[in-house]
Amino acid sequence: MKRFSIPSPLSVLSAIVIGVCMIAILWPSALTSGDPATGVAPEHLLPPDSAHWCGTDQLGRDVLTRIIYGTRETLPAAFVATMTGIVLGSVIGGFAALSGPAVDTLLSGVIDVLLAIPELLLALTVVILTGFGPIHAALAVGISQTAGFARIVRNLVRTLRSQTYVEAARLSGTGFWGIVGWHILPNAFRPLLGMGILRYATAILSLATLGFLGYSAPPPAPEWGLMISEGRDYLATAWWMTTFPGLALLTVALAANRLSQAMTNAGEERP
Amino acid sequence: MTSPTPVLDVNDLAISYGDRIAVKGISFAAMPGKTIALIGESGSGKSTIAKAVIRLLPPSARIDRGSITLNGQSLLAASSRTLNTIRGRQIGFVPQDPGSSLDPRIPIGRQVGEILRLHTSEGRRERHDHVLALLEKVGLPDPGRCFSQFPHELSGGMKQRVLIAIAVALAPDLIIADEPTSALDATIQRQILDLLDSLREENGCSVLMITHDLAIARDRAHDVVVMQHGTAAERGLSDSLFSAPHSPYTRRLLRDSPAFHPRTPPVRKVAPAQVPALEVSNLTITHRTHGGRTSPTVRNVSFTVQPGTTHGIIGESGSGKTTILRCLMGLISPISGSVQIHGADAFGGRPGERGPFRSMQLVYQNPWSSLDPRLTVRRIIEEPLRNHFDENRSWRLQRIHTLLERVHLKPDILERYPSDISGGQCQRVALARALAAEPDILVLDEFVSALDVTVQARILELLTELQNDLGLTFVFVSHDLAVVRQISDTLSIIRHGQQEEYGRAESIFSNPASDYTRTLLQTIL
Repeated sequence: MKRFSIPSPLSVLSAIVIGVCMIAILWPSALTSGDPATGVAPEHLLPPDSAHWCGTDQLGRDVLTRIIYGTRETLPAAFVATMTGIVLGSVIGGFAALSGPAVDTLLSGVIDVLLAIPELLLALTVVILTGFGPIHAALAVGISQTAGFARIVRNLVRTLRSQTYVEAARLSGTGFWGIVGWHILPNAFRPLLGMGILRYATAILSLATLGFLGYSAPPPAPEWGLMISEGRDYLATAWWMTTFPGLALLTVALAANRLSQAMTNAGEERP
Repeated sequence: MTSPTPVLDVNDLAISYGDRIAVKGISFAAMPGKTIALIGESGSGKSTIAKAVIRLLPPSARIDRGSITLNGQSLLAASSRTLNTIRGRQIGFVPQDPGSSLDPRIPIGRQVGEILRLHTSEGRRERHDHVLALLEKVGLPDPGRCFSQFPHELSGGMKQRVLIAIAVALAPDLIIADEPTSALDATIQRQILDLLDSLREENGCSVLMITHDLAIARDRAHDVVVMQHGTAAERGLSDSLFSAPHSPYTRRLLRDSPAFHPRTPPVRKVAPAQVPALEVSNLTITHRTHGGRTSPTVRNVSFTVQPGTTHGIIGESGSGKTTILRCLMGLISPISGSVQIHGADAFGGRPGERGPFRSMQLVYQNPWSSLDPRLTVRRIIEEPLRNHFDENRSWRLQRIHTLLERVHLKPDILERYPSDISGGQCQRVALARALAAEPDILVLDEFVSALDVTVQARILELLTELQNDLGLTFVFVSHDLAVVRQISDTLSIIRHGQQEEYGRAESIFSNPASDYTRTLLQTIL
């Protein structure tokens, strides 16, 4: 019996990227000796060299150090955002799928309306209504993702509910909560996990956008979106200030995307 | 006598998928105007051969050795450009599942016309007439209307006719039919096979038929190759092979095949004075169609099943037999009529209450989809034990072992998942789960239809054994008359939601009252 297959090299690389990010979040000092907030004034706007691999910014702060510390800002916030989306979405979607047609129609209508609003616009609205800051930005992104999760969970649960083995469980006397706990949740877990990781990549990008627009953490926080925004003023003379945070953002988003795909494929191998 | 040159000559063909050898050195020849049948159970390699002949094997397959020659031309050496002219023009292919083999968004006429567009220089007008002629030739009523219809507007049998029209459009020398009728109802099967036969005689082409159905091979084929694990267990003329089989495998297949071995069930003495196990009277069930309109799907069905006997319900797809069964299980309520289980009215209690239904359990058709893929066999059988009995874990484990023994499974299967065990084993697990609730009535929905004949025979033996040991009552729903005949004491024949016939099995078989029953009986005799 084969339950795990050998992952592709790209998936391994993606897992390494995420692993390095984890280390950066937990022990940033293990990767860099610098301080993200204090700069050395004479060393401002230095291009990349052996001392500063990614150059320095207008205040003489090391860009690489700021990117590494920046994982602490962006990645946990994206995790909070995705979890908010999954939990709210699962509750709404699961409730819609398991209740009667009237409730289902009503909730599906609400989901459709929310889906019609562009996610970024919804996130901006929420963050403007609730106030700026990293936590608010994370929750706003989470709420903007809720409708998407709710739609997927609803359809997933409805499909699972009509499976023969669920009917068989009903006929062998299993009650409502038994069916949800024994059959629906375990079977919904893996598709939802794959979906969650995919949306995590989107959440990183959305949060960076909010940071870029100035709705997330205020300066001098090393938030990636904010760094790109600050570097924009020096785009002509100091390309490294925008390029490296941008690359970091891209790499993590692609890695998460790739892992989600590997997860989905692994799920498909078992019928 | 000089033998004519074969249309298709397969010589010492060996194919493997990675390390697994699928076909080991098969040789056969298809003669013009004759039908050759490859028969065997699933996994015997018969479909792999068909795919190899049209050179449509999946990339993971490798042809290790051997040759395939069509009219003197080697197919294995042919370039893909040559193959494209051979497929369609020299080889016609009739696929297994008519439902998924036509493009749902292209009208029938254009789909049939495509092969003419690719292979002939006919103009638009000419092609239109040619397609109409083809549709008429395969016996489609009103070809003109069919021409502009979409696949979903046709029945399964009509779709299969369209596919045959495509296969024979250019009068190929060889027609490969891969299980051409296994997705169709018995009465339609016969018509499709008749059509294939008449086209073969008309065009003088050769038919390579892949089938698991021994009766079809016996009735339709001139030559037969019996496949087992990728080798030819036996090869010969149809007449001699079926009357005097040589290999033990063929003999076992023939013995297990219900169509060849009608076993009359032992006549049981049942005192009719007892309270019947199940009494259904004047059952009428309606389905709500979209638009809120209701139309009755089942009308006035009545039958009585005595304890310890088997009642067979026979019907083709769409006849309403599954609706009856779902109603018996309390999954849907009837509009009128009653279901009495051991004399208690099943629908008398509060709606949703499963009280009287507990003594009745359902076992499903598809061995895999009725078992949760994320649960181990142990947890699957444990579920009803948890629900119905307030006992501890060690008691449950002991019960599970007893149940496994009942269905002849070894305990080492307990920690495995449904996807890791065979279809026959899955059905045994499903049976053990149903028995766990200690029912005295088992409702079996197309219980053996998805299984190979030899596995089917073992499962039917198991059912008889369970019935004798535990005194179970069975309601056996199937489209397969031959199987039902083996085990039923009484019989209902359902057509268009109505009971065509009801009575003791032997009297229906010896003396059918309705035309429909006679047609059905012809298909298996």
